[in-house]
Amino acid sequence: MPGTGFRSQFSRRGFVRGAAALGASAVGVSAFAGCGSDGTGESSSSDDGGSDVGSGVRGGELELPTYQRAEVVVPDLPGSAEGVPEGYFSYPRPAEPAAGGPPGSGGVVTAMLGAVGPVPPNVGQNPWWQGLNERLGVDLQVNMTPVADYGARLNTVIAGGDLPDLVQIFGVARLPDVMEAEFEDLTEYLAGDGVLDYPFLANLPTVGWQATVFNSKIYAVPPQNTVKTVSWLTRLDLIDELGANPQPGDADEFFDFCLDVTDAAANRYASAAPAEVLNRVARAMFDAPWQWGVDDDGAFVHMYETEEYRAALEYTARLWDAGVFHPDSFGSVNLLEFFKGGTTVLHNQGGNGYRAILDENIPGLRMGIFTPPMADGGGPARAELGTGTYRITAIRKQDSQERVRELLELLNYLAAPFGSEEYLYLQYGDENVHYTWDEDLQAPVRTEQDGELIPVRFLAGAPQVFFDPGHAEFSKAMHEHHSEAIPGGVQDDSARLYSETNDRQASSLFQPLNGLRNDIVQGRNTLDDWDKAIEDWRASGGDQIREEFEIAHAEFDV
Amino acid sequence: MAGIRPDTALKPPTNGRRRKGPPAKLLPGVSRQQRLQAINGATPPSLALRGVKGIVLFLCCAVVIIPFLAVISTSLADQAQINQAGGYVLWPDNPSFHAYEAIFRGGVVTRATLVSIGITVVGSGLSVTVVALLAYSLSRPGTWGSKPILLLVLFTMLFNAGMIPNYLLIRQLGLIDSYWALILPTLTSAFQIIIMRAFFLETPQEIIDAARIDGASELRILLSIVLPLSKAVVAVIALFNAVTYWNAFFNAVLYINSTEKWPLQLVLRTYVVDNTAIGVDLPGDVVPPQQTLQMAILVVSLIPICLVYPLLQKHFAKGVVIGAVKG
Repeated sequence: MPGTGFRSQFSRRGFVRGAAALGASAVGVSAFAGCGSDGTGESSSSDDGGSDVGSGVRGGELELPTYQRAEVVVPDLPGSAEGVPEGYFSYPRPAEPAAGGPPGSGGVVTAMLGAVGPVPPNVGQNPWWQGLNERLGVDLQVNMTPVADYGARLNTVIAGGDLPDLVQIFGVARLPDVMEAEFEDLTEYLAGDGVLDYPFLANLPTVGWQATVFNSKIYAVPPQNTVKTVSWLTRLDLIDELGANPQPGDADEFFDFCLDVTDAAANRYASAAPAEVLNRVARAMFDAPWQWGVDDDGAFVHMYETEEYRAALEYTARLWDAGVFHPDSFGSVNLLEFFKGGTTVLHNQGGNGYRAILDENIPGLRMGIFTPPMADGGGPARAELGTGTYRITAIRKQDSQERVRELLELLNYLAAPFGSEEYLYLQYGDENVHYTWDEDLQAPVRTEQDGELIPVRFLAGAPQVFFDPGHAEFSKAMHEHHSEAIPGGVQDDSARLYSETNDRQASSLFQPLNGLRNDIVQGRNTLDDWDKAIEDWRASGGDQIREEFEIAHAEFDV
Repeated sequence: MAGIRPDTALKPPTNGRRRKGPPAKLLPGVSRQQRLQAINGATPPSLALRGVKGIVLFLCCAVVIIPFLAVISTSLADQAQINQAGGYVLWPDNPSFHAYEAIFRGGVVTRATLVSIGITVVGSGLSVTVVALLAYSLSRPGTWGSKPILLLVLFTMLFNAGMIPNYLLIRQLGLIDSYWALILPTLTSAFQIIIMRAFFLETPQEIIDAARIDGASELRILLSIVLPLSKAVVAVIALFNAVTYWNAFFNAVLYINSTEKWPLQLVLRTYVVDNTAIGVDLPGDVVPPQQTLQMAILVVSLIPICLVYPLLQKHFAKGVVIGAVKG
């Protein structure tokens, strides 16, 4: 699956583009937009330049929602407002309700979201859904669309004026304009201490809120994802068996590691995802920016343009040449199955996705976590970070403020944190129906009935946690991994900015480069071709995008 | 092909090598191979050549069959074996129907299968009816306005309204969340009308004139004379439509709100997600379904078309013969 990482990153930027704040992580959360309440706003560059700036687009005028942790249970491993998830070793029993009662007062609430995986039975045949409606005090009608087709669906629904009350937002062009035209401005409800009326929304880490800001207004609620989007899992059992070094310290050691674990005769390779290794390991090792990076003078550069990326590309091509990638890597392969079967030793998995592998309890499989090192051996490389959200959820324009408050109450309920009785129902369902209680693990264990649960967590949900019953050691390791990676991580500096050219042309501009990149890795083209393609890219729109991001950046970051 | 003279039709087929010399006599005691040689006029291929042919045919079959076998086997295999094999297995060690039980639990797949069958049957029937009626009227000389209507039909092959205008149309017709939204937009196609009209044009005018002298109405002529003579093309059009309705999912994405009205292909799409489409940056509580489930629902969605195809193929073969000899 070549280019996976890129495409997903671009599409992610697609729906948060224009969002007014993904604080540059290197200088701490929120260079500008968090000048709010919880002391994170240090306004690092607030005193230089920028006299005439179009008003209404300045993020600095907005107070992000105050972060106030909901004290439901004490975590075993602490989290942070920057997005390090909390860790837990057991679920409280009995779990106490944390919400005051049904947030709704009858009536119908409609919603739409993109579903990943099998859809649950409709409400009539679905006791869990009926139970949810009872708890919410409304008739919640959720329209689910396979995630791959959601963009088409959302665009037609917007054009037809058929938007439901709660809308998962992604795959829409001109997002800032769409937000303003179709959705409720939530600033007056949520900015600053306003969010304290909705304690579970106030419990969401500040970093995620930055993705909900458009034109200096809050337009959405952020469903949660881990800030460190992807982690590299390793087959520690195989690595130890082969006597390889599980944590290489520089580029040469990583190369050796890949060679050591590869044995084509045994159908075992270091990885089957060269593009991911290039963009998330080699790029980090050679310290190129993640997507678009900005320097102190406000100049933007895309990682593809940099010497560092060129070095990473050359490095990855050498890895390919050495045969450490599965030969079908650029075809359509099931990476997860490869990793579970020991065909690959390295695997990158989003969020807490490692849990699915742990839950299978595959005999002999022991997982480790790999941190890419700096190429020159200067310690761990800077990890790339995401927005801390999985899409965002907006509220269609409503007739009254009371109705908006009711919908926010409803989203607040859905965000009930780990440890509460509500979270248990939302994530696990009813005891002895959708889950059983395991006394040894002190944790709920899902039954086959859990296919009834509908993915309302895509509308709003609690902050992500590390909770792996029976695998507390791995929770600890993951927590440590995130705690180390997030403070020094590097973000896509364009994620909070809007460029019209990027909106229209990103795919046509980047697809040829991604294709060429894959060809260079496979030795079909040379780095000279790359230099030429970069020239073309600049001329045909790359420079235009850069300019637009620089202007947007200057307007925000005064 | 009215111009074929009877004597030319009796000549041996011209495909293959032409036999030389006088006609062979069929003697008793002559082996089947030699008789076949006598009839076909071809020398039997050598053993080596036949061996090579056999291997080539075997490989061709294998290329077609192995993916099916892998899909079916994987749907029956257990997770341990799939993990071991890295995705697909060719033969399940411990076959079980666990995956099928899992996908039919909750009734979503069962219901979607029924919806799909309903849409396919009703849709194909209506499509064939509408296409046949229009094609027949356009094929008969003297139909009022046939030329402009034909041009109008052809015009739709060039342009497509696009997704959003179509959505707005369906919405204004009040068909959102209705099964009709899955049938009506694809009811006819210019391509099918052209094919059927061309076929009808071949029907000898004399037969139709004879029917008319006997007092048959146009509808009677179509039903009793033209359609029975056109079974082959009707079968082809019916199969085209059946496959299209069965495989369609995108109209359901756009026009159907409640999951209980989803056709099977849309449910299938939620199972067989393209990992590249959803990306690696999903939060942890979202995991693509296991390979066994993906393959099981694939098998379920293949079965009905596999059942229908052999039944219609009979007409296909007949259609080829009719086309070759009678025209």
